[in-house]
Amino acid sequence: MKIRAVVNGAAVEKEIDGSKRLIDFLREDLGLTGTKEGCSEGECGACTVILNGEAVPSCLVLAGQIQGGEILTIEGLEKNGELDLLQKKFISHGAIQCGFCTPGFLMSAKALFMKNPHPSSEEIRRAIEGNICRCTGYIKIVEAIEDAAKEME
Amino acid sequence: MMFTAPADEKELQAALSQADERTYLIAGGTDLLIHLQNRKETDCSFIDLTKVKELQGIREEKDWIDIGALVTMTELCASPLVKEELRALYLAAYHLGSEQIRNRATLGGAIANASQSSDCSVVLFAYGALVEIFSAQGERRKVPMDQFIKGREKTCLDRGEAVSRILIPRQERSSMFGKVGARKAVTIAKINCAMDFRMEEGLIQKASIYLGAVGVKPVEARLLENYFQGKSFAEIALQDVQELGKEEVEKAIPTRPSRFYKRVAVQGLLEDMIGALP
Repeated sequence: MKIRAVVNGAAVEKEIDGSKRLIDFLREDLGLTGTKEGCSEGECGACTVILNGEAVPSCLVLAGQIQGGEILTIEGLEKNGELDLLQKKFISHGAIQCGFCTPGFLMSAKALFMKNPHPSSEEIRRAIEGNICRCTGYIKIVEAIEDAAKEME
Repeated sequence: MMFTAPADEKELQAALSQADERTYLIAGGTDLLIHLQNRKETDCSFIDLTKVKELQGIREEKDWIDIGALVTMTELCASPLVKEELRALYLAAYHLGSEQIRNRATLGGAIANASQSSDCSVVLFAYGALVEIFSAQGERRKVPMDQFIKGREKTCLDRGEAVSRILIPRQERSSMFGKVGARKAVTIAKINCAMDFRMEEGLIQKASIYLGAVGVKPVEARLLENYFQGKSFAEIALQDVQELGKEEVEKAIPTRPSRFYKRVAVQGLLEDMIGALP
């Protein structure tokens, strides 16, 4: 099938097998390897991308299902060579260790900010409850997102 | 492999009429794609339901709240009607999976997959919901929830049929949902429970109570129902309720090894739920 979508702000048109997973479409067809595959069953959040304004596990969405939609991946956060506020805060708070979960956490946090620019601590924790990090213990990640939320006020 | 995404019921009808044993209906995909992966099934076709417009949205009718099969957990949580009137369904949706899963998982998918620990199923059993099924012939039939789910991951859906809407009867009600899992968030219920009370002048006129994950499908808790009947919330004694809950679990799973855990867990679950009643 011919898939038409907007990925990171650019129109994409490609002949693909609609029944492949969205994560494979992003990584293999578009070369966007920033999105990571962890558990492959929607438990770990590493493959989180934003589809039509909502955080989704790209391992459980079929590429054909994004027809006409809009996708934002980790590659789309940086604008004109400048990192997104969330990315900067993750770095300055040391919220990254091995980095494998980081794109997923950032996309979950970004999706939250797109819906709710002034989230409470509780809302932040709920937004990232589907993301697993085995290095940091989460505290620094929550602090980084809280700091970003504060700076946006 | 084939992928079709009908835009309306007419196109859905055409797609359904060509379905074979390797055709799967997909909505959120949060159960289906995991099942296919576990079974190492790769040679299959998909009918993507997510674009079918007649399967969307929540409608408020005089006697029913009519919920499209494609309504996601996130949409259920965002609906003031659901939050106000269908407290148990709201709570089940609110505590299901993670943000990412709630954004994809649909009510239709939750029941069509018929997981024995499904939070939505146990709530819809308690509400006495009707499931509307749409067929390749363009026909519609309505089946009560307890006939729709036939067993563990088994429903009455035939090939060429899809869940189109879920109808919940309206009444003067108070409803409640609770679950116990291995952790607080992103957890699959080890035991769950839904209560639906028809209220009249502050008294429980009729109680409908189901326990989930203590059998292949939700189990009606008749001892508990009888206890609640005719009482006001103030008259409910937690210890009595817990004792009956324990009996219900013993009755539902007399031989399963998990009974030792679940007959204790049910008491904590009931304490949470009774504590949260108005």
